[in-house]
Amino acid sequence: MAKILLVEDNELNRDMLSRRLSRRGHQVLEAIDGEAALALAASERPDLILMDMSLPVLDGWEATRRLKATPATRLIPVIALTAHAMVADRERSLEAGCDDFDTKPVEIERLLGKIARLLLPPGAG
Amino acid sequence: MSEIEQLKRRLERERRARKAAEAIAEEKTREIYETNIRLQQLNSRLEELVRQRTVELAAARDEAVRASQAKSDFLASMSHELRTPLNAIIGYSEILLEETDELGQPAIRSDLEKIRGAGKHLLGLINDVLDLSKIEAGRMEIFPEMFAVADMLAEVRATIEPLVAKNGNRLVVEAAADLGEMCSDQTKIRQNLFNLLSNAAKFTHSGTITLGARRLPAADGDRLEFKVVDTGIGMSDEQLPKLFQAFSQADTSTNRRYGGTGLGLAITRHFCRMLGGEVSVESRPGEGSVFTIVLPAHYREPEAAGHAATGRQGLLLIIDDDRNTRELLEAEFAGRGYRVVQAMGGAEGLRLARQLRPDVITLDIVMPDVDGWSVLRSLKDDPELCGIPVVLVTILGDREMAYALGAAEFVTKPVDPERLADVLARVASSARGEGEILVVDDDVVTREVLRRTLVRQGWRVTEATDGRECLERLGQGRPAAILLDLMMPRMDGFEAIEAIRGQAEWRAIPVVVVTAKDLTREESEWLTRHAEAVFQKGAYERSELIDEVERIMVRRVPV
Repeated sequence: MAKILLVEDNELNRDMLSRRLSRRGHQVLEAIDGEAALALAASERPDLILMDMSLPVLDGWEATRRLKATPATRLIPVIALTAHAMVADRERSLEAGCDDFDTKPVEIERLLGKIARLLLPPGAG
Repeated sequence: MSEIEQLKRRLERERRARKAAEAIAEEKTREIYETNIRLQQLNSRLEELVRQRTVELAAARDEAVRASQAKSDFLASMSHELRTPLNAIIGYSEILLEETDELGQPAIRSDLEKIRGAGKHLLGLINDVLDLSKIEAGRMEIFPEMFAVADMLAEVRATIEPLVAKNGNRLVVEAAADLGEMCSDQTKIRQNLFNLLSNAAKFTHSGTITLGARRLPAADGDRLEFKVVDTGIGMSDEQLPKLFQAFSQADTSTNRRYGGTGLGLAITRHFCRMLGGEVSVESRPGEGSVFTIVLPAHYREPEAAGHAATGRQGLLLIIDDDRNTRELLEAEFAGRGYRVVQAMGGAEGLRLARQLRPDVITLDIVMPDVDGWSVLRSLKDDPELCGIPVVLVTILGDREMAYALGAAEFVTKPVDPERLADVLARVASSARGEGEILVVDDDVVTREVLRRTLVRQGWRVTEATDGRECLERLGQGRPAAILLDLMMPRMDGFEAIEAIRGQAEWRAIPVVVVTAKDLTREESEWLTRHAEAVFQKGAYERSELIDEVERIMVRRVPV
């Protein structure tokens, strides 16, 4: 199973998602803001990042831009998590370099599907 | 003799009769005159009342718009605040549902499902309220994208199928082969189809729900038709008209039996119209319902043509004591689609500026109650008003203006006798003692002061009280120079100068403008900093002023 970095400032949301991913066998790392996320991404090299977009200190868009601008973390897939109905946020997240997005509250099965697709080795999809 | 007596008497009778007739005529004339005056007074009072009402109405409307905006803002932020804890309720109930099976406690499963179901229902309500408040606030945006219609239908089917199956219903999708692509807001179309399909599922038991789609080719652009057909309880003719209104299901008992917000169809209709299409319904009680959505295959942004008509381009406040100037400006700007409000003086202007928050103000400087300087200062000192651009429409540039019109020189009141002597020595067409100076001023004190000064300096003096009288005096003889006030009734100094310059035989008469106010350096610097532009009343090119106001308006109120 995969090593997933979950970046989310809301404690309840972070706890829920982390427990549900762990239950399915993923190893979950947690960060509560964009800057902590950059540090963990560099040191831990996760297989995938779930990124809330409205974060303190450094928001999700800027964090993603920096991840994608850094050679060491450039290839880590990022899934943006945005609030319901914020279509503009989704478009902005793709522009920032996110590989996919999902809306909160997450539907766990749908999100797991997206995670699985991004974790496939290149060419296998 | 008696014949003469008779004639005399007859003459006397006739004279009396004529006098009586004249008296009557005079009386009638006076009555008519007085009636006229009364009518005029009534008329102007009526105009004043209408003007007041108009201002009050405009203020009330702006107030209502602000209140509605505040409501929408509140709803939007509340919806967000409500959703966060609700997401936790739904999420944790789902986690517990996953864990119950592992922990071997199936007994609490159905309770957890109820919590999750109620949470999801509440979330749906909040989302609908948020959507509707956004629509009402005009903040719902359209994000058009190109997509394959068949793919979208497949996604809709996958999501909605479990819901349809709940009441023992069967879902049939009848998609034409040539659906092709669509460029529109996919999210909103999908939401519309979910709304219609989940309604159909709710009101149908052990029946069939059909989702049909076909492309309708047309010369002015293809359309796509989506039909949701159910075999459910249907609706009567009385129930149908209210169907698409917010918070109104067919009747209140329906709400109790079937749940739902009553907002879904209202949102569906809003979305359809925003996308340039329409939704309609046919139904019979006991036989089921057919909802049809028709949308353009290519979404086009609505033309911005509505702006000019609705006056959404911006609000202009005209502060001027001169009615003609106000009417003239109002006509010009109203014709360009701006909303225009007039103020007759400085005090009223300030009150209206606070009340209405106009986008641009045109301001006259010389006004009887509170002058433009004080108005401008009050505006710029008020933190809430200091951002409003002010265009001065004024005779303040007296000097340049008077020169431009052909004044030879310029003196300011109170007149300095030495300066006056210098000026006249330079410009007058004859030497002192030999010439006559025409003093034109409506103020008797000023005339008197000037006369004494001039006489002491050896000039002869004639006087006129306004521009028209000035022209009459010129008809009688040629003065060595004219001392001309600018602010006068009937015909002001500017008009007088124009008239003088228009006559070949008067053109050479030197005109010295006497004005109440000269700009100090501080004043003109302050003015440059605080006023957007200064236009001189009477001489400005009207189109120039209008262009200036429009330029500011466009900058402040993007179309």
